[in-house]
Amino acid sequence: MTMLNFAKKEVICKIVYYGPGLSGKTTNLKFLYDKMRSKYKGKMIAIATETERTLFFDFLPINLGQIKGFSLKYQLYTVPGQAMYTNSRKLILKGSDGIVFVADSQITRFDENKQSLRDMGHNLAEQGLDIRTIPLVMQWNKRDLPSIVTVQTMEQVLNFRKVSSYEAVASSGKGVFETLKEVIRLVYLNIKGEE
Amino acid sequence: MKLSQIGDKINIINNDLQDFIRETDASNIILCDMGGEILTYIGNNSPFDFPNIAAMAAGSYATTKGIANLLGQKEFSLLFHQGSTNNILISNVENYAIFIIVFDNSSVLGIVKQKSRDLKTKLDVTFKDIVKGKGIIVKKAKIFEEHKNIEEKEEKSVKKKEETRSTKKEEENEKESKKFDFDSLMIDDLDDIF
Amino acid sequence: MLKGNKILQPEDLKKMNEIMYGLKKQTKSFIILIVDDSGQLITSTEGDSSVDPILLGTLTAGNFGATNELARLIGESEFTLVLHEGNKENIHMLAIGSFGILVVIFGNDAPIGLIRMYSKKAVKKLEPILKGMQVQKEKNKADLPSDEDLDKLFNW
Ligand SMILES: Nc1nc2c(ncn2[C@@H]2O[C@H](COP(=O)(O)OP(=O)(O)OP(=O)(O)O)[C@@H](O)[C@H]2O)c(=O)[nH]1
Ligand SMILES: [Mg+2]
Repeated sequence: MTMLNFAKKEVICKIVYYGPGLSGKTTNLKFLYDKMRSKYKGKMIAIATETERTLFFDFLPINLGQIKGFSLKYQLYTVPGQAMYTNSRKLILKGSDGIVFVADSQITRFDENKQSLRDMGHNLAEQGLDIRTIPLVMQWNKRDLPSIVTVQTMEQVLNFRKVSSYEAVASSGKGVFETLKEVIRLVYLNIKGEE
Repeated sequence: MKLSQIGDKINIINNDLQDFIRETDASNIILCDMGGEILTYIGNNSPFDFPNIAAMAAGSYATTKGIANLLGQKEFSLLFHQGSTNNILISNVENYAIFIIVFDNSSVLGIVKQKSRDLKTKLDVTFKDIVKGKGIIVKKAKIFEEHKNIEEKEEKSVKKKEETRSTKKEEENEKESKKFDFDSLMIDDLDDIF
Repeated sequence: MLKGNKILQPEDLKKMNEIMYGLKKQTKSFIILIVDDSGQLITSTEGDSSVDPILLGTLTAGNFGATNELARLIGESEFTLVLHEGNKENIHMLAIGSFGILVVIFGNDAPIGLIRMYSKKAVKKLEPILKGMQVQKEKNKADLPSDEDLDKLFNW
């Protein structure tokens, strides 16, 4: 839900990192939080269980500076990937302007990516949003692990819209920033009206 | 607290929950871990979706705990939601578990509240017992984490080192330059878009 | 020109602030927030206090969302009263139609009946303002992909 705040001269957009449990969504946000210069980031919240699984959501607000006299702000969220938190996932998607789908490249996790993607389509629709048109970026994560699906297969099966995709190792930061940049770009293009 | 850790102490817990239902006329009580995984539940046969209720209650509790942290308060001990016929009361037992009481207007709110405080005390004793007996360490649920601002810490340490050794400065600068920089992002990558 | 789904004009913010500070005075509460339904803070009485209003807004919106979901799960359309009781502070939350949430944080000595009454009145005044911020209506349900559409889309 892009909010144009003329009173405070701000544009605020919401980006949600979605994907199956343990695919690396929280790791993406943590890396961004650790590596970003202070002036671009706010405080991060992680609502997690004692085993560090996301219980409700993670939240990281970022501020990209001035554009057309407005400060451009993005609020990054992650959903909890575990099956039991299906209602929470639906809640977090409310009013999202862009999605990063974080897929787990491991062969053993491949089917869970498919399930999660379909679940996302359904949950988006429940919030009045369309998986076929919402700004979307794919991330093939955990490329450092031994038994992984080829990028070609990931593309073929999961990238149903042929959107931009990035190979990533979120735990070391590879591909994390590139993914964010692309989703920022897509969301921005979407809110930029005609001159 | 996980079900596997509770073992046969679950009988004591179930008895306490049963007593609670009898004394308050509440329709259901659910006990779950801090992540919303059900440990046990007692009450009449109702069509409610307990696993989902527990998962949402855990989210609700975690966020109020976060709010409490922001306000500099330890926690909100009681979360009460009033509907037109059904009500919910959520409470935690330290970091061990959460219980959720579903009751309608045939129960007296004051009694539900009072008895839930008593129950909290009883469960706390049982959980402490389990922990002590088995030497279990219950890790604190990471409900709300305000990450420390690593960069600011680094900046401070840079300043300190500057005063003593100037050679360290270059190292620190190098470290800093490895960090992502949104300035370059704006100029090189996004300039044509913006 | 930038496009948005919601537009907040300075005069609307002014009106909301007046209502909010009025309520704060009437109820002697500590903090009041107005948050939109997706978790974004619209305004708060915490301009520059030590409490981070953005985090507070996100957490209260998340909490409210979870609470409404709980209501649905036990067959209530919504909870009329949401109350979190603490040692020093209590939180009262109220839906502003389907557009946002009014959050009132108050002390233990404040009379809850009064807070409920004044909050309800404030919500009545806030609702048309928040409604007016809406630019784009929700998509037509018929235009959204059904489960069958999704099956076809993924074609696995
Ligand atoms: N080897 C490897 N491990 C990774 C990578 N990305 C994340 N991990 C690890 O995978 C585990 C799960 O990562 P999280 O970021 O917590 O996963 P999540 O998607 O947030 O999981 P949920 O919160 O349960 O939905 C952690 O131990 C990470 O360190 C990666 O690229 N390679
Ligand atoms: Mg996570």
